[in-house]
Amino acid sequence: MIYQQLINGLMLGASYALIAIGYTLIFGVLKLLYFAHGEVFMVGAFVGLYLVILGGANIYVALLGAMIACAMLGVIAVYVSVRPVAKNRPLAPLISTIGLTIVLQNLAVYIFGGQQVGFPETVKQELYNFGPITVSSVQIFILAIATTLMVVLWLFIEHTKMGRAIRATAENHETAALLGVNVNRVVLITFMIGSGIAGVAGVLDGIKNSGISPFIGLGAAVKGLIVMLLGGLGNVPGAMVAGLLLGMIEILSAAYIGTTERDFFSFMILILILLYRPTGLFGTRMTEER
Amino acid sequence: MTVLTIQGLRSGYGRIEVLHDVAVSIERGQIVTLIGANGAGKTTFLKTISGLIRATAGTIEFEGKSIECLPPHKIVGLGLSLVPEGRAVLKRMTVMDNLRMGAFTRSDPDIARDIDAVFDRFPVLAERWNQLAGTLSGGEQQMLAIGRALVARPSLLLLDEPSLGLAPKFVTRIFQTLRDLKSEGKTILLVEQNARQALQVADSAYVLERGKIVLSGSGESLLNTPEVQETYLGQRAARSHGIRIPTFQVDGIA
Repeated sequence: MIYQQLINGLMLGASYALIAIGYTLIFGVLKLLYFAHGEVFMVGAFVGLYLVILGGANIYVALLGAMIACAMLGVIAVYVSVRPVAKNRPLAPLISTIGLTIVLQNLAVYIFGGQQVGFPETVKQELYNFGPITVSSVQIFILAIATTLMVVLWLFIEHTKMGRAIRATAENHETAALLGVNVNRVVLITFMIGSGIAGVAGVLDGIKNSGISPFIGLGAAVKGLIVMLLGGLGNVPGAMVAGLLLGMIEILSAAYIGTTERDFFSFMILILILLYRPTGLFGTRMTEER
Repeated sequence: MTVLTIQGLRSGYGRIEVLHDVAVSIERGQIVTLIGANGAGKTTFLKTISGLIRATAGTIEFEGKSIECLPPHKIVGLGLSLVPEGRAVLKRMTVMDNLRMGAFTRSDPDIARDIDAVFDRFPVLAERWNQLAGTLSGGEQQMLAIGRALVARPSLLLLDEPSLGLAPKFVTRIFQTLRDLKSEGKTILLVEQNARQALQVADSAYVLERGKIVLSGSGESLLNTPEVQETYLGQRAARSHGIRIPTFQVDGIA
């Protein structure tokens, strides 16, 4: 029973981790809490859904389409809600990205309607038994995609030139620029990557819950935020681990304590983290050295 | 040949002008130093050249190109590298990644060789290649910052107070490195508060006071100028108290 729940928690946690990665990447390079991220996740889910329903696309095409569409949305977000706003006032972009959140949500209601929409069966539902544990093909699919994305992203951040430029920009814009990094471009690329991953997370969430609505963004945003804080601001591997952890905590508390208390535990964790480990579980070195 | 020509440069922060009509020129293969007190505008000067602060007037010509309107990342690409004050290494990245970042503007196959050359120059960095730069000592961080700038293969290297806050043995080491670089044909603009050592290594020198160049000449001639001795080498105060100043003897100075 407990193993079964742990597996379920892992599945849930994988999508939390994917959302939080974008948050934490963007926070890393801009020191900005970017509120519209949950809505990007929602748009990703709809793009995937419509590619499947209207375009007859298979799930891989839907994932790729959602990724690209959301990456583009990330670029738009930078141009409409980040760049035009005063840089030296940290609250201004916070407010403007909340504005973007409202716009995207209403736009989604206008285009897709306010109802919950069913996600067709795109991954053939099969159940596999490993002793006492039952795993569905959908769960394996979600976990495989999420893990692949995280590994690829980690390799990219750690071992490529652009990955190093993103880390350098996250540490200090001025130093990065003096080494030849076009900081504005790196910020744009970071938004594209973070948003693209959120788009994939949206589609995976759609497959898992077999239904989406324009209002799934807020929940995703809040969970992503908790995971980012848990993992440490700007800490990408931290977000990955913290995402899985939060997923397991939620599932276990739902299984052994009660379904209604699930979110209660998430928020308790948020409060405890803020009180006792504001740098996150893994103690990110986010202190500004100026 | 002139590498850098600055004329009529005005610059500052917002409406506060810090540099008033500054002119400086640097010949290839030289060490040029700019000395001045705290707040004279030395750092502003370097930041303006490297594009971090936009000049409000004047021209900055680097190897025949006007660069006063370019953003910093483009200026680095042209071959002008600044080692900022306070050893601005990327503390959360490893020594190796810092050096690789130094080569960000390059895409040729010789990068690994140039990184090895930095390790030869500063063997302590080779020992710590996989350590986070933030765990290095101040002197080691300064070596890393200089090494990182060298990996960019700059034709002009700007250094902002490289000896600031370092232990004496590291100060000696840094100045020795500057001499080595000069003998390898590098061109350097050195900004220093440590006026004596700066003037000793410099071919030519400028004195910046309240945003204006008030004196210029060869490093040696400024060392012997009474105003410089009084203000920047602290000799009069000592003499009037009857203290004999021991003069530094450094080998290899013309």
